Amino acid sequence: MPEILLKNITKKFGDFVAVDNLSMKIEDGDFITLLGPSGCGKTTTLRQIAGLETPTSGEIYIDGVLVFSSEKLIDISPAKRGVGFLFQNYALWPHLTVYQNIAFGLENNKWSKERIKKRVDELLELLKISEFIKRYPAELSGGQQQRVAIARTLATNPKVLLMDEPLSNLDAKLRMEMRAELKRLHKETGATFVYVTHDQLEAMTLATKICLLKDGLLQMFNSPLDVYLKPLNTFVADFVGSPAINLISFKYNKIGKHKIKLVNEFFDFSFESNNELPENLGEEVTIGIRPEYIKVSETGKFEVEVYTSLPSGMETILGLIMNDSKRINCVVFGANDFSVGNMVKVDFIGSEIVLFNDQGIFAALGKLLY
Amino acid sequence: MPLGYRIKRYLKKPQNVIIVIMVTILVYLTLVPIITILIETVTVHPSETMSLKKEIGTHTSSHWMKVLFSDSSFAVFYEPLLHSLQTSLCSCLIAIVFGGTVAWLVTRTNLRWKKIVSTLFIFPYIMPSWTLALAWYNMFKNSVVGGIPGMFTAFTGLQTPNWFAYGPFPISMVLGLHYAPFAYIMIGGILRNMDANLEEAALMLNTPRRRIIFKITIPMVLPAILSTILLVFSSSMSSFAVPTFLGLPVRYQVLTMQLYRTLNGVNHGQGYCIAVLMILIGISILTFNRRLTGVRKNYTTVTGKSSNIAYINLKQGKNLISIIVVSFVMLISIVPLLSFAIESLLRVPGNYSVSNFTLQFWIGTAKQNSMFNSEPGMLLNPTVWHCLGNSLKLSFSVAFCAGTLGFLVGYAVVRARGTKLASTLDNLAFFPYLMPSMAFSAIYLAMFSQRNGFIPPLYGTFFLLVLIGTVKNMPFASRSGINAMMQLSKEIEEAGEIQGISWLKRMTHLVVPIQKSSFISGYLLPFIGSMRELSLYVLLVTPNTRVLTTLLFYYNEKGWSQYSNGINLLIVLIVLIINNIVNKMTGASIDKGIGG
Repeated sequence: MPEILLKNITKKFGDFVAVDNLSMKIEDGDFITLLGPSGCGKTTTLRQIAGLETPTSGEIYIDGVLVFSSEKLIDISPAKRGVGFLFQNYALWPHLTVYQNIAFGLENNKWSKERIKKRVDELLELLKISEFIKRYPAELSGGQQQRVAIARTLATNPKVLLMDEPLSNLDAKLRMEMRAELKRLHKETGATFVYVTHDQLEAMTLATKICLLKDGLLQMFNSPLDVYLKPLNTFVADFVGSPAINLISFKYNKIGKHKIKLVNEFFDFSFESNNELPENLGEEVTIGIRPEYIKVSETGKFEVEVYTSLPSGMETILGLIMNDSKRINCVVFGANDFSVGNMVKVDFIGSEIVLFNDQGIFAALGKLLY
Repeated sequence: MPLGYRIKRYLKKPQNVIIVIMVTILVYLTLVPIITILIETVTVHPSETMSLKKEIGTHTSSHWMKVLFSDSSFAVFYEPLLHSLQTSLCSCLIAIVFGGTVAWLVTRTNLRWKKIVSTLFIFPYIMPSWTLALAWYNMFKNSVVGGIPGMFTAFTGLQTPNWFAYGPFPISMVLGLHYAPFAYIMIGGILRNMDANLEEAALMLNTPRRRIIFKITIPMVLPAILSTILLVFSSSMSSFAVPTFLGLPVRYQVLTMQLYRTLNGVNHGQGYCIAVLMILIGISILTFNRRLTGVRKNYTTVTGKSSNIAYINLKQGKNLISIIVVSFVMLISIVPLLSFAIESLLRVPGNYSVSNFTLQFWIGTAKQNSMFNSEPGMLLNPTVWHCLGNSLKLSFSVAFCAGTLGFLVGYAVVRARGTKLASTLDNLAFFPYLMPSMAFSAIYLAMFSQRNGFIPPLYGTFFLLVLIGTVKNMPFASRSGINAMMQLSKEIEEAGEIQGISWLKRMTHLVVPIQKSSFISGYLLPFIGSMRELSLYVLLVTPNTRVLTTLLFYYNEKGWSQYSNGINLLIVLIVLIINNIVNKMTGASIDKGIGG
């Protein structure tokens, strides 16, 4: 089974720690995205799995085989790990045609001519690029080049496909199209996909599981919706979701096992947890309210000023400002526009408001009462 | 981790294997000679046992004292040093002014005949530098210092003054013009790659043209100008043939001439001292240059999206400027060739009347040329053919070795970038550039004239010439290897690596074909360098291994100007033809090698 196991992987470049003691298990057939801001170690992690980069310490298993171990002095070369790698800049060989690009690796594996031709035709079909068979990479558009790169990577039938921001050089429309394409390929090939991106939307829509990294440290490894709804800390909450979650700090008073009273300069309400609250929350707490849980209505309790309004047709993203200082984001569904400078009334709704303790660690989900 | 495993893992990467092998070889071929030279400067030589009253091989500080702190120091070292600095500085200035102006005109204005200008302007760099010196000498020599006056005097009847015909002025001019194409390639390269948006942004802000040039264009190319200055400066410092041709008649001595005099005479120790001092000057220049190029890299951000900037309209000056530029370029490219051709056809040198023209020095038999030691005409002369064969064989071998090793060095240095060993290799490969050719060959002569460990005596062998030619040409070969590899993203190779394609196949099927023209440029530079090389080979050739340049030197010493001019023409033509063929067939060119 092509599952990938990372055990205590650390990678240092001189004094700089790129990946810090990372352990994770990628199940067979998963579509994992490695997500995080630039410089967080996601590409390094991917290259280590491929064998293009050597970890400073730790162990890597692919498909049950130990491919790297700093202690047992094992380091299997990239070619023997049975992985495919899709590069950000495609890395197509400019002096070879589409056919030759795809066939090159197969020729090298001593396949027969007929078998190569059959396989290449199959791939050209799969990726819908048959008509470009004789063209050179420079004669193709970005999207077509990307398809050729995918075909080349799939040619040898790798059980694991590693992808390093493969869609970042494409325009928005093509990117949407290729996302759907990748999901289809994931299903059709049955391979395990590991995908690096800094685009949280891409991570959310593609993955079966998201691995969120920051400064080389694993922040959260779970399904997209779990990451979205129950972020393990404020960094995860803030990084995932667009527009960003509203994080507001409060002084608090405990009034029962499920309830605390929250006070700051703008608000005075209480939070009712869905589960029993932890004993100790520290000095201050932070609540995270997703933009869709702020509802604009005539009867709303809080009056705020419209600071920005970004209508996109399906929804409008509003930037609101409270008492001339505190900014919050909210989303209004439907084709509406709001005049900047006008006052509107809002309510906080839903039972998935997140509570973080004063370390910024997840404490509970619940709703606001006022 | 155990050491054995660490070594094994290190050597698993091909670039590291190359680094280890190349560093070992280059340490032996460049650092060992340096140390040998240093030891020689404090050792008593056979000819000195009487004067120093010491045994051969014992230590002495007398060489250093003589060169630096004695009554003769001024004549032996300080005056030639001043002369060297003087001519080198002037030639830098000339190279930058000429090369920079032409580069700017070609890349930024609507000058006419750009193609001709850029083709011909490279000529002086392809030609041996002393070719231009000889041309100058042919043109302007006077009868003041004795001998036959040159073409200029013959045609105009005017006697050229000494300062114009010999000494610092013509030396600086010739070296400056020889390196002007270098400045042209470097500055032109920056101008061409410079993001035109930077100038357009200023244009949008309504900045006058003149202000754009002085406030934006020149500051942007300033780092390139500075590195050109430093490279031209150190090349001029180590030039030997030019000052010999143009300085010797008026006893104008520079450091390299002192080096030749002392190394060929009985004062080897002093010669090595001078060599060490020249290397020190070179190293300080290089260090300075490295700092500057570090800065330069931040400057030239090529976006690739920039459109072509609108050419500056030279307006009514366009035709005049174009004519001036083209005639100037012809003057330094075509005219020298014509002068060689004419000089080789004169029965009696100095007489330019039609009746004095003859083909006897080209196709006369030994009998017809009885007055010239019965030397048959060049095209019938077995010695010339033998030397031509040697020159080609040597230059192809040097090009093959230096080009291949240069590519490997480029590959390893770029792939292992950031590691200590990689920059060590980079520096080692560049080091021969700082070594004056004369001192280099003197020390190779000493190192390889007897059995040296497992290496048999090499003096007199063709292999020794190939060896020294290869090492001396490593700097440019490795530069162009590095340039070529820098343009190739490492993913291109990794995409093959991950599919299990072997290193050799990745090189032969992916890396080399993609960067074909850049790599061939890396072979072209050593070929040209070796074809025109004199001072490196002159001490090491034997009658059997003579090459065209040393034969030319021999004819020149004998005063057979028809032969030396004819052979000069032959060398230049061969180099130009081969350069053109390679250029047409592969797209390789010397400017690609230098990094324009």
